[in-house]
Amino acid sequence: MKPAKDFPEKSGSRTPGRESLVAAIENICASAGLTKQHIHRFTSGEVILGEGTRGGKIGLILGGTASLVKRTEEGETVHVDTVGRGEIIGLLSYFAREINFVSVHAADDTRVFLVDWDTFDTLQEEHPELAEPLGHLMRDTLMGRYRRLVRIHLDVARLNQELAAERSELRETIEELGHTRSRLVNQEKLAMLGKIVAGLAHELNNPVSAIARNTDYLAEILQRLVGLDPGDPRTRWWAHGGDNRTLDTRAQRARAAELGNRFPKVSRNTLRRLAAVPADLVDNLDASPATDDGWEDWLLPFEAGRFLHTLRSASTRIARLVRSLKNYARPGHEALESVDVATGLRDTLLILAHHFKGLEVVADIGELPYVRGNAGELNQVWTNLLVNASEAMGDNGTLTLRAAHTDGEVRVTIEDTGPGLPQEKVDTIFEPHYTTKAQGGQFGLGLGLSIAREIVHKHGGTIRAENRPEGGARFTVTLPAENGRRG
Amino acid sequence: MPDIHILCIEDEPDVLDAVLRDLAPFEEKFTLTGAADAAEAREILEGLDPENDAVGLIFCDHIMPGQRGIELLIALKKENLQPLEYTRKVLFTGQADHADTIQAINEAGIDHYLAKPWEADELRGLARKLLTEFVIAARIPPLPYMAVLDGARLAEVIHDRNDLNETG
Repeated sequence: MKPAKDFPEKSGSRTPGRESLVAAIENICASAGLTKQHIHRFTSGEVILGEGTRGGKIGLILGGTASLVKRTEEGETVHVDTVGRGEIIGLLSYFAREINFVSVHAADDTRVFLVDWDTFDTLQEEHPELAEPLGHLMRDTLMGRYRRLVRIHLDVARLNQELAAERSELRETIEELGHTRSRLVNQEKLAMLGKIVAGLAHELNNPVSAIARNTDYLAEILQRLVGLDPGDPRTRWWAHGGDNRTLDTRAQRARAAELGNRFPKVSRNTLRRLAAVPADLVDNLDASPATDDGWEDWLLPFEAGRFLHTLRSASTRIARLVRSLKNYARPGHEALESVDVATGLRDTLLILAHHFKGLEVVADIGELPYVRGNAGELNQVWTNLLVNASEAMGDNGTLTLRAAHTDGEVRVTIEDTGPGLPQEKVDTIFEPHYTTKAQGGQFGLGLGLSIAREIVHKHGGTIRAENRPEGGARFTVTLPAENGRRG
Repeated sequence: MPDIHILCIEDEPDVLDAVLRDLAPFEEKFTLTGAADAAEAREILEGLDPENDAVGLIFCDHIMPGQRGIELLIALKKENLQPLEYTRKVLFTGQADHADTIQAINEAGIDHYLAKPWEADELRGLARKLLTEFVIAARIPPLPYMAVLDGARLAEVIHDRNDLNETG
């Protein structure tokens, strides 16, 4: 606050003018011979009145400027005001008869009419013509200080407001930075995980191929080793070992009991194994063996065939998982590519299959156009939405995934039959740290949906959450189709 | 002499087959049964005769459609069915997180946690140890089981019990 601003405001409004009052006082001093004794000169930095000292002096600035300075509790000096010609100094302590409240330092060459309190009073009595202009100037000084005080209060209030606004802005920025950091850490972790998984998937290919190939060779070798003649009825048992199982565990128990009645001398172990053999093979033998050893000749080729079949289907399953895992976790290419959303959705479903045990999964993935973007990131969107949906339902419910091509965009909807979203949260669900899961839950960062939204927006798409009228939540993602290419 | 059961609960048919095959050496003395889920396991247990049947050992998968393994075992422990009085329990899973495992130990009274994939010898060794413990705890006359179970351990028990009988 520059007090210089204040002088012009005041000068016009006062009668008589400050300048004429000061000039009058100077004249009186000169004619009464007071100048020499009571008018003092100070150079820049000199103390005119010291704070805290019992100076007992009062003064009138006649020329130059002076600073009012206050010492804080911490020992720092703070500039309070600048005063110039016509201002009274030491006014407060004069009225209150107290120690000086502030220090007054000369700011340049300063001329001051400076007297002690008693002299001040005596001079006014001796020279009554001084009393009136001094009174005006004292009132003027007080009013000026008061005005400035009010203005300072207004300034403080405005500054406080600005400060509060800045502080809340700062808080938001810090929060946003925190989210960004978590997101980055998360992305970094995922990228690293993606690399590890892709590498691992690649490594798994070799042993899986070995299992698959060797199973086929083993089948050939076993057949030759055993030396089963193609006309031997046991070759049928061998071949049927590879049939898909028809009886479940309940039916097999019943069948074992039934066989136990027919073959009372046969052990439980043999009966249990026989129950897995298609009934027509067992029932249509020309001469049924009556003992364990007799049945062993038939069971061994059947079981060899079955285990070979199991090996084959198990290695096929692993190979399929490995392929999906490789697609799913391909290390994040920064560059945009043509993404086959349908494959991404199928891979994600397969990778997450263990998450959906106990749930009914309905997948309706139509023919979809390619989308321009990043396959790994989009898989993360599907993963986050599918995991959320399945966790909302717990151990039973129906998870429905639909993907269709409409009006130049790919539309993916993921529905669950869980409790749905709290109505008041539907609009804020994509904000970071929204989570209905207990602290420390699997995806406990609460960033899943905000990351999904960020990725979808990056792909020029939309994401929406709503509750289904029949219960449960529905998430809809749309992505613009890439022009001219179909998946 | 009671009929002692070994019950295996596993939803993947190929995996259940393999477990049953690994445990086949016990079938001579024990009744070996497979169930595809918790509901079927319950049916089998409820069909037992408390006078003549006892369950020696349960091998239970955790992640299954319907009720999960740990929940089934907790429920069974609470119900306190008589054929299950001394049953040894193995949680047999490729996938249980930390919380599941803690719950299994604290609430379901699991005796052992066996991770998939397993080795046949490991599985059989575990079954032999736990069934031996069961026979001793349930005070079933051990003599018939000397050959399939831990014969040395059972012989000690026979010896100790005879000593007790003589001194008491």
